[in-house]
Amino acid sequence: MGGLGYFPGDSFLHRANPILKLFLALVLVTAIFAIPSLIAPAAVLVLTFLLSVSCKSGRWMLRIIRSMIKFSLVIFIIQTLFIQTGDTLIPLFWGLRITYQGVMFSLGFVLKLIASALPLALVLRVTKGIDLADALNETFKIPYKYAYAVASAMRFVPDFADEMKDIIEAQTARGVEHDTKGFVKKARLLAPICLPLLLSGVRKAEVAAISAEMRGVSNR
Amino acid sequence: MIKIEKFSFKYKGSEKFALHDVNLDVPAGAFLGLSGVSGSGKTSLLYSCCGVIPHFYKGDFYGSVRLAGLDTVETPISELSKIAAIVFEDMDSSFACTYPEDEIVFGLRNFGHTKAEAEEITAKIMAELSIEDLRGKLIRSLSGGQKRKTALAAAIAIKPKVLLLDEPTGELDPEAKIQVFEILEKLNADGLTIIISERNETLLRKYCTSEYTVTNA
Repeated sequence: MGGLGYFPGDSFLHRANPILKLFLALVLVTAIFAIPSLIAPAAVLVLTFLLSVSCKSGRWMLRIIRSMIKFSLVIFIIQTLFIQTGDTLIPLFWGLRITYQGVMFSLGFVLKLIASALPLALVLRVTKGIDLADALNETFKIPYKYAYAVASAMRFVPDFADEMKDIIEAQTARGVEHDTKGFVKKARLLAPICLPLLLSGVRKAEVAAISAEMRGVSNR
Repeated sequence: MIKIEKFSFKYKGSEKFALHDVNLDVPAGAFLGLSGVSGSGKTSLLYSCCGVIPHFYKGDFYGSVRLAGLDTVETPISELSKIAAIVFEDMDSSFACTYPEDEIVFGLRNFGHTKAEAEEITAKIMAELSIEDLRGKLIRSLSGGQKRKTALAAAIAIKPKVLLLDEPTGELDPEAKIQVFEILEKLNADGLTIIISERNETLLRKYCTSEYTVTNA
């Protein structure tokens, strides 16, 4: 079913104009931050999920939400610990406490964060990068080169994931134990991978850019 | 079609010449095979033929390289790309799109074809190379041979006068290698000038009309 990026289909969302889809996604994201109530992000979350189901991507959307919840949990904890005003819910060590205000604010923050990411993820799910680049170029007269660069960025995400997997496998074969559950240990093991991954990313991006230029991307 | 005279090139930051005093005349319709050991400069020579050197890889450039009469140093890459197409050795990075059909449409749209025209040409090219069954499949999920054919289709769709290929049969099995060379032989018979760098000298001798051994000595 793939991660972020286009997934083929023939739903009404797949067939809709890319600019209309982008516009609606931006309207939803704006509503999340413009309306102070938590009803807005909750409504966007539900609406985006229902739209995903309509284009046979419901399970994919649940996976994205699950991943975002994991990521947001860290933000939620940090945010809650940083807000020390309001009624105490749980007293902690060193004078720190979890407050009602902190929990509510952090909950709202992560809910908005998750809800605001989903409409755009869905747009990328139902729109080919090449169609999005065409539409941005034709409608907004954005130079095609830049429209293409924006639209094709997602194309490299799976490549980087594969590259990272290769490096981890190579290190595992040399005795590095990546199969650990400890967050800090895992982070410490991943840190040395960042440089080779970055260098490989730069090299791939260079080849991709030359290849696009040689296929006339500047001609449009 | 390509005329290289007293050409030498040293990459920026390197002390050694990647290519030294190369003289080469490739007539239109040739099927030239480049042989040479690893690091001999085959890729650099291919890059020089189409303007990737010096437009993207900077360095000390001596002599002259002309593509269809155009000086590759003075002519913008947008003009050179109308004449020469290149299939890179690192194909996975060179794909611009996620699906084979889009990869072919991408180049065609860049060269002024409407969406409908591009789709029509794409269907024709995919049929010619027998890759219609790849439609809707993720490029990253394709086999090495299927990726090569997709890259080849994308390159020839824009109807270049010269096709440059950098080790296009790299990790392919013997049968797939022959398939690629048979496609190239057919394209060459239709008038396309081809320059290919290849380690397998048996294949070069069998299919190419001429051979040039690259040595950076």
